[in-house]
Amino acid sequence: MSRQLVNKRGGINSSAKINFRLYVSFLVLAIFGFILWARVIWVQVFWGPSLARQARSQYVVKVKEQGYRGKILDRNGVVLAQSIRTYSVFARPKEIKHRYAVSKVLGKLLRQDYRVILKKLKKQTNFVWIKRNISDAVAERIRNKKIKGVYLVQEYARIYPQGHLLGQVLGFTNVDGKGLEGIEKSFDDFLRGKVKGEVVFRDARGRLVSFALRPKNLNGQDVQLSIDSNLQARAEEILARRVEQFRAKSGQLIVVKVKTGEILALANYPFFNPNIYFKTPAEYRKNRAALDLFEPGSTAKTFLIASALEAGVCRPDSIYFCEQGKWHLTKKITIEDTHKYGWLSVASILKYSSNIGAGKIALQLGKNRYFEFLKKLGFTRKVDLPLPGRAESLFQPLSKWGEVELVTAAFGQGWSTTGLHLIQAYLALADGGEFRPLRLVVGPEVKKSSGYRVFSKNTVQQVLKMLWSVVNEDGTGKMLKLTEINLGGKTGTAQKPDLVNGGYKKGSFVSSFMGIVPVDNPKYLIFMLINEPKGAHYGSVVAGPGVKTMALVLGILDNSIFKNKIKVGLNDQPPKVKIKFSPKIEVMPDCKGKSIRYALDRLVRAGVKPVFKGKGLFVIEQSIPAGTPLKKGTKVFLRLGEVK
Amino acid sequence: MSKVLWVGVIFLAVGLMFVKIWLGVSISSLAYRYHKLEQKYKQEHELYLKLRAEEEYLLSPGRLRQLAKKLGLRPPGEDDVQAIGQ
Repeated sequence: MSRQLVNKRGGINSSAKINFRLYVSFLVLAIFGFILWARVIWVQVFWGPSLARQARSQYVVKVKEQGYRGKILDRNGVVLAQSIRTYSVFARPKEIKHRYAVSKVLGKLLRQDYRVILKKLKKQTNFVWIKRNISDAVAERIRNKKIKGVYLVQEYARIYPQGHLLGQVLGFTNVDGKGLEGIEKSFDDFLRGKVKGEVVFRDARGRLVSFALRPKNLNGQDVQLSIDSNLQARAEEILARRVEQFRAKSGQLIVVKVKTGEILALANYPFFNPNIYFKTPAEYRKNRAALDLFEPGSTAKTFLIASALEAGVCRPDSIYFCEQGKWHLTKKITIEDTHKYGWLSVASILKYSSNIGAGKIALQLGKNRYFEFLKKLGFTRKVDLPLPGRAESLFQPLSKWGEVELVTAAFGQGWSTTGLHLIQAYLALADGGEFRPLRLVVGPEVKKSSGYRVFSKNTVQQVLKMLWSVVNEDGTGKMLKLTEINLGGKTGTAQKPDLVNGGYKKGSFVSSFMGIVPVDNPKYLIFMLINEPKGAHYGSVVAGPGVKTMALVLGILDNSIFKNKIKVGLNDQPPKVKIKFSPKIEVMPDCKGKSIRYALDRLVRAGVKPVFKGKGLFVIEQSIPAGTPLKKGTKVFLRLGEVK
Repeated sequence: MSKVLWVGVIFLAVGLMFVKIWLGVSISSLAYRYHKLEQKYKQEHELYLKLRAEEEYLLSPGRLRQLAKKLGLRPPGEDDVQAIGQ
């Protein structure tokens, strides 16, 4: 065989050559194939999982979606709190080379001290917040700068469009959207938007695409309050004026609709703006109507007398001797009245607010029965409202009540309560004797305990008549009489207890007034309390006028509370108005560029009926030139528009 | 007969393959469109919410009252009322 391979010239023949080449090629291919397979095995087995991960991360992206936090609305749908998406800036300091320059640029854009930003950028961390919740315009400017290591992320910001309106009741959320105070805290779970993760795909061009259908609504649910924001604004205005006038420490004004027990306005002063909660002292955030305890003073006499009438201890015309203004209850304790009264009927005791008379009625009623009525009126438990941190009324244990404690409790001393407790108790009287808890939230529906009867209708009628006489006869609230509205109520003036030395602080008072409108058919309750007023301290002088103004404001919204019905509507006759005649204008005035009001005023005085055409607040054309003599009854056409 | 059937089956299979490809392309294109529209909706909704908040702020009774005070507006007095006919 080997001989056949060698030719005559001693070379290898062609067939052998081919075979040799084939072997070599096969060998090379085999080696190459082996290397490839080895590489495949190496990549698949050893690098496989990590490469698969990398591939997935390139085209599969996990995104997290969060729904909006629900809105807080007033009874008419006016937005009191809502969330909007804003941008926040963060940085990865390790990715930033020129920290000083970056801090200078960011400082200028964010209007922040660049040194503060530089300090953050010098931190050896991978993430640092620069500023949260910035405006869209600033975010756009930062985006355009394309600074390496500086990023924008979308977040939610909670805003309160009405500013300080109802601030303490609404509360606030932190930057992470967690409710920290007020309704925001109580309804945090309800308001909070849900979070859902979703897998989307990223194509070669970096576009994100989802093959899943839109997830169901992730937004939190809205909370609707019983508050009327318009009324609330007026209440806050009236309260602020009273507190500032008497240089008082604080104040509260509450308006309740009797039929439903709904709180229509709940104003606290000093105001608190939740938009800038971090700049406000904690003291201002307090919902004083729910938290501040005060001695109710004479406003509590109404409950004592109602309880005594209900228990059959006395009648409205039963008489008590009021000791000519000084009653030596014990050797050390003397009860005093502001005036020297002799014999007074029960009705007059309430009308003139006699402490001595009330004390004597209380002794006859007894501590157990009186306390039982206070208990039924809700004073011994927290008000059933979804507000965090409501205070409980403060009573001495009943076992420790002696004659002195009972007598002082009769005129609202020796026990403390909140404004909400007090108005809730009056609600029972105004609503025919049935106790019902107050309502602040109308949606979602909050299950309320059912009402129960405390006083008979007869007792209620007798007490309301007495409360009418407080204002409309010569009672303590006589200066609050209104000709338009049948206002009734009870004044309250209580000294503030000295918590350090015991006893009462000299010259430190709480002035209050509880108003019922109209007192013959109660529709609204208005309670105002002014804490530590200066210059005057009687409830009728300090708080009463505020309630009176509030009653008139209520009349604008609900004219059914006026004594004489005033009908307002298109088909009704216009109210008779005294017309003041001004000097007559004989020639056509120049109305061009003037307001509608100006044109109307001039033309009506000229005895001419203007006809307006177009839309706008200004006159841009008039059919009769200025200076033309006018005849009565002439029609003048005025084209309206906007003045450039 | 069986030859014709086979050819038919092959054609049907090829046709179905094309339909599948066409459906896949359509789904992708719709998904892109859907995603784009969803993003647009979100942006518009966000803008709407911001504008609503702005509106609420502009119409807030407290702000209007302050502006009115600044502009010297007040409730009309008795002499300011004029009857201009029934």
